[in-house]
Amino acid sequence: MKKAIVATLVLAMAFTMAGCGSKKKGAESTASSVAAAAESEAAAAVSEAQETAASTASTAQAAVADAASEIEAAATDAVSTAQAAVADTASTVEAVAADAASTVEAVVADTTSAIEDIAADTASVVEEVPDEVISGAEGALAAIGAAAADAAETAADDLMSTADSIASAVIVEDMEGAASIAEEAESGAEGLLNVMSYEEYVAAPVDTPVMVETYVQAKQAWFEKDGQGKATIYTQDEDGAYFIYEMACSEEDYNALTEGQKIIVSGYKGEWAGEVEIVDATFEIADGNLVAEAEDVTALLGKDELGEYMNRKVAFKGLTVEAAETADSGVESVAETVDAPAFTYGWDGSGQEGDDLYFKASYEGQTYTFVVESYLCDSSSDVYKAVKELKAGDKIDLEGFLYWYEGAQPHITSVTAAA
Amino acid sequence: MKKALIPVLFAAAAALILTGCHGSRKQKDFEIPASFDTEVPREITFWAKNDTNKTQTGIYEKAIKDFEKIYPNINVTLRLYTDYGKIYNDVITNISTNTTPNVCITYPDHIATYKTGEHVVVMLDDLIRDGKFGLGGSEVLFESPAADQVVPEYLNECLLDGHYYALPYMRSTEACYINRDYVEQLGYQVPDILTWDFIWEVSEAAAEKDKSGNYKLNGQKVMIPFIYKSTDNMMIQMLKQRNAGYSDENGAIGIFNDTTKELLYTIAEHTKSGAFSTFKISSYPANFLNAGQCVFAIDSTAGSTWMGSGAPLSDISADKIVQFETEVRPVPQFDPDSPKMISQGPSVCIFNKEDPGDVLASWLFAQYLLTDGVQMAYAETEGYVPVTLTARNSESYQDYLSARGTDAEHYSVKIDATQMLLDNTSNTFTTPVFNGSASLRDAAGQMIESTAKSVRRKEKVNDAYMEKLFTDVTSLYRLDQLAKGEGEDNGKQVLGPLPAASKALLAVLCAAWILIILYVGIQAISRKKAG
Repeated sequence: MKKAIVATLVLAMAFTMAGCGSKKKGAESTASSVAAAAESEAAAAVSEAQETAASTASTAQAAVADAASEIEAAATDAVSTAQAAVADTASTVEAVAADAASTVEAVVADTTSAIEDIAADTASVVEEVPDEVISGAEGALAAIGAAAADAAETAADDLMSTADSIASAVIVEDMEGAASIAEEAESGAEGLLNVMSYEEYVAAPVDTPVMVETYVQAKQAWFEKDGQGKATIYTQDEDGAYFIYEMACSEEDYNALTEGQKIIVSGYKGEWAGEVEIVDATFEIADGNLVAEAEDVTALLGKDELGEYMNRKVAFKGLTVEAAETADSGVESVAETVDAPAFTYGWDGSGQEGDDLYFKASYEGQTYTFVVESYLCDSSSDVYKAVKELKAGDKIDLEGFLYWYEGAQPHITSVTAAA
Repeated sequence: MKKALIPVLFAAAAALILTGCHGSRKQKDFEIPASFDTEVPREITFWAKNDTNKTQTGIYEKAIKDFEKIYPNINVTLRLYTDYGKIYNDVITNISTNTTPNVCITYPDHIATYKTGEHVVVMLDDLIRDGKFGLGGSEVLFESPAADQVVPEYLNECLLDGHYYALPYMRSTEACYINRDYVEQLGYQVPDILTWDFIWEVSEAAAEKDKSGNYKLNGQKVMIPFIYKSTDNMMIQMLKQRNAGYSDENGAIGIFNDTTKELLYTIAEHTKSGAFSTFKISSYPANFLNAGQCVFAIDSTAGSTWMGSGAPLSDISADKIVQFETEVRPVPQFDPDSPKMISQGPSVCIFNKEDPGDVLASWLFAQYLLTDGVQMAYAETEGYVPVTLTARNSESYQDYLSARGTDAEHYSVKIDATQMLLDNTSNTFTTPVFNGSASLRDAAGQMIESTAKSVRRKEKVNDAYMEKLFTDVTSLYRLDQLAKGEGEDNGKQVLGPLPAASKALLAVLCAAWILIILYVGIQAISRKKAG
């Protein structure tokens, strides 16, 4: 557009010059002085036009610079809200401003060059031009200068306006989305989470993202839910344990997981009925193997400190089997009915073969409930069969995982006669 | 000679054609036998659901024992479940191997899926009204209720595509169990009908903490002012009360609408402030209510024996239970003048078998579950109501209701919950049933769960989130595959034009009948001429 304006001006001048050429030459005697005067006037006009153009260009550049400055200032504000977002904004605005300045400079340079060419052409022919033509030339030059200045100014204004609106749009958009971007940045940062230590995991609030390196200790269950494979597993590292609930896992991957296998788990920390767990998790296999030793926590039974061992592989030693209790009949003395089982299917006896087994055992006069969780150890497992053989008064050692449901609810994986 | 051959050929052709048609079926449709031989041994299986309740399993066992005394030739094997979803999954698995149970506790939503298999579930229309073996039939060896003695609303819930495929067994609804002391401490009174505005307002007040981070209301670190057990019911009831879209009988999905978004925004707001949570996120409502960590707990009336300070059943230790007065109300309403609440509870369906005698034995046992003794005994274990008018109106049941609060068997909260449902039977509703309606129900709850979870994880819940949620839920539950599409009509596949072979078969069938009629006509004319 700007180049078209300049080209039009050049054509108009050429046309004017061609018209002039068709006129009859004036008196030789005055020609020299007139030409000199005309040359002087033309030079002055050209000089003025050049100054005007330069001034306009300078103004435009200053305006662009001011705009860039304002935009940068706005971008700086945005940076305080969301650094990453504002960095993009500033970069974008600077690029727009640079483009605008570059374009304005190019237009001004083109205009100036055209005017200089016209002036040179004028000087070369002016000697043959009569007064009236000189006068016309002066007017034309003045018009050209003014037109050039207008063109440059208009071009600069257009570019500034465009740059300003682009920059404003970018800033407004960024300011509106600043919080969102900040949240996304935070969310993105979650994706860049580093692997946590157990201490960091314990300190992490519920509902925050967590990532741990841990080792499979037992697989509780796999099933398909809404078309997606879900695995629930007990894991542990050197410092503590992590219960991974319904982690995304194909059946093939689940079958490939073995005791001790190191995995990296990413998910959210959750707490359900007191059980601290990792939910909505994904995992990847890592190199490493660790099979935890069951830690003897018998002395912590009934104490708050037992909670520190939540989900770990633990052992209870020297317990005494107590009579089974049902919701209907209350405590039944198994000692009096020797063959009566010391367990119930389900917490109150409402289940049947294949369901969870509940049994009670005492230590130092206090009775505690233990569970053979049927997904973790089904009815074909040794522990399931062994518990069904228990009688009140038996002395036993237990191993299992310290699950939590409104208090300790150990999921037992092994029962043996007390050593 | 020629005359003699014609009838033989006609008869042979017709027999061949008709037999061929019959033999093409994979499994025969059930036809009611003319009689039931009580000398022929029958083995039937009954898959039942209980609420992890020893008394309920005892009632099933007693019902079986009593039934087997009446019909000594029928042996019923009980298989217990504590989860409807697991029954559903197991039935689906067993349909393919033709090892379904004979009788099964179920939901109509699930039956809609079961019956996509040909003749898998027995249609009960004829059985219900059969004079000999139907409800109240003359040859039924126990006192069974007549069809008009089953609560009509509940019997109608068992209609699928205009036919009965189940009998109602028990009915419940949801109730709001309220810590009245807390409500009054906050300066409010419990109204007869709760509104959603009231619930949110009081819950927000209950979520206030002191400077040390303890909740002002209970002085504890834990307080969930409002907790909901079944978020699918929550969404379904809210939409119904707002007269907003959910689905229609043809399986057209209408749940993804502006009202749903609006409800989710409200839920997000109160989740963010800590005023609301769900069972899936936190734990059982009863545990928080009884520990003084909750003001409003919404759960089934069938869970009423777990609710309140004096609840006979509890998962938390006695030292954690806080003493308070428990009020029972219907679920919150948008229009208290027109309350609407879900009707839920188990129904019983019968699976088809090769031997009609086995199916009839199954039907007789299913019918036995509607007798007064079973109905009252089971209903009284929880906040269920009997599905027959005979049981409801019996003197024994009225005495039970009158003895409110006298002992654990007549636990006041349980009877309040029961009475609330009895008073609101006409205000209950169910959602349309079609193949896939169970998935839609799951999706309804999932939207609340996802929104609440996202808010807790400080994710932004805005229009873009909602759009993505709708898309994700649609995909997860394959709801886009339920919508009526090309080749489908009313949820059933349109099979298109008949194949040429079928057309030919039908043509031959028609020709056979025409020939039969002609033959009979010719014979008649011949006899007339001869006479």
